[in-house]
Amino acid sequence: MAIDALSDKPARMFRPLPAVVFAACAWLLCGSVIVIVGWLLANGLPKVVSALGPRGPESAIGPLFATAYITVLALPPAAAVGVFAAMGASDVRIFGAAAGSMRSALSLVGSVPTVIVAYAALLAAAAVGWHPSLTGAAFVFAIVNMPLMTGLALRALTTRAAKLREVATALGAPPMYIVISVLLPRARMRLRSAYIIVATQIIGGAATIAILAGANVPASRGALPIHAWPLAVHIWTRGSSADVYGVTAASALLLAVLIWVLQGIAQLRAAPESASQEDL
Amino acid sequence: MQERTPLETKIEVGKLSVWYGSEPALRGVTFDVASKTTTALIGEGGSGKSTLMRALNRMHDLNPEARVQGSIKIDGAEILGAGVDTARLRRNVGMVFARPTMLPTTIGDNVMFGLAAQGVRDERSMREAAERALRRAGLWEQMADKLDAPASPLPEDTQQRLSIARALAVDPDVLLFDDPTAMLDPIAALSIEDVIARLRRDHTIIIATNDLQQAARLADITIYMANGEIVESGDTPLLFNKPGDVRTEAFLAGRNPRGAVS
Repeated sequence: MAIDALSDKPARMFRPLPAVVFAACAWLLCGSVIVIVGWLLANGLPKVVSALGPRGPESAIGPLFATAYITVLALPPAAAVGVFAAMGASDVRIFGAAAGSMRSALSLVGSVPTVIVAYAALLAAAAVGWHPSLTGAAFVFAIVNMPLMTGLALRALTTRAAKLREVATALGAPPMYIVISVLLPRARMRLRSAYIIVATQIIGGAATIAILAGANVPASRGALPIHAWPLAVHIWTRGSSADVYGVTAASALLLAVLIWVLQGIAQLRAAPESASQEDL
Repeated sequence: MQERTPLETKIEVGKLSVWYGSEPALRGVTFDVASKTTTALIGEGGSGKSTLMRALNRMHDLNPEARVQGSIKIDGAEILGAGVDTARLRRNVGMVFARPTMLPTTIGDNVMFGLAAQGVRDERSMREAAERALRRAGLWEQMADKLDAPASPLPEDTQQRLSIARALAVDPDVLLFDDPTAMLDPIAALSIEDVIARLRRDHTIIIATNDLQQAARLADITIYMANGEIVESGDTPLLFNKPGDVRTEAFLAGRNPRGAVS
């Protein structure tokens, strides 16, 4: 049983229902993927391999590659800036009375689905004649996810931290020393959950845009906004190559499962702590 | 270090007022504390005892709504102005809270935290300082071989004594005790009192307490506060035996002091 290190009382168990619902959905999605992959395999392995292979702009591997590339590039700066901003914002002596308003603003900005902001930014870039590369897209995703990371890291640092901060301050510790030596190590588990949540946001956003833009994203030579049609429109207008979109749909499902699994891990890791620890 | 006579003034508080938002918590409080004496603050809940204690080492800085006016001098130096090194001030004016809160680390690291925060890196001198502090808090025999054990599972009275050791490790001149036995049973409370009694000859001590017997046992001077003001202060035996104000008399007798004002 989890032990609340501060009170020495056993932590309250979180309600199991969301976990059960999540597990059921995850298994359903996994089952769907298995069925689709099985169907594809039944239609001939060589055909599937050639469809998945990197053989040009219609390659179904494109969205997967684009998503991975954007995530690897966007997560470290988003995480680093978010944690550092949260370290500053967690101390009222740095931001004074503005700290409260700043937290509210972070919650508000962080709650906007980043995929919308990122997609708008990419379309705006294309509209002014700048055709974003994947690196540019990663940069956009890093920036739009910073408020979310800051908000989550801030919560991780400040949850049930008031008494600890008070005690450490009374012992003559400077504010940043308290954050680094007391609050950060204590918030490690919650910060890990925050990384996973932000990673899933980036993966989800990048995958959505990659799929919307068709398989052209890695090439990105003027791919946006001309090819930035919804997948359904692609399939409707280019029905002759529906097999390729079948594979794209399969990759989308795989991504969805990946996101659900990561978010599930984050939720499960965060739930016992958040259930037993209230903000002071 | 300079030798001080026992009656040298250590703390001078002048017309100190504190507000939380628009709500006044202290109203023009003025008093002096002599060096190496023990002063007890008594009064009802909400009378301003804790607010006064927190002002003495600038802990009110943690509350963005707190506003302070007036003067507090320690060893003749004003501590409320801008540009005061508050970290150094708090090492010189240690504080022990009502509820012991252990840092989420080992017993040894808890005791040595103040030194580490100060920038001391020499492991040996830190261990020596920790041993001295634990001995003075009456914990060394019990804790000598447990310094690497986590502090959180300790019983509450041991945690409170560890809090005292933690404050002593940085060698403060002044010690503030904010109702240090409030969470303890009478036996454990007496053991904490014993520790405080042993510290009296080396430190200037201010203790806020709701336990009048404790104030009578420990304090040289007692200050009775009500509604953010000092009603009366004086030598502890005199104040307890011959209070000069009807409100003090009522409070000491366990009657409602507000009813005594007429």
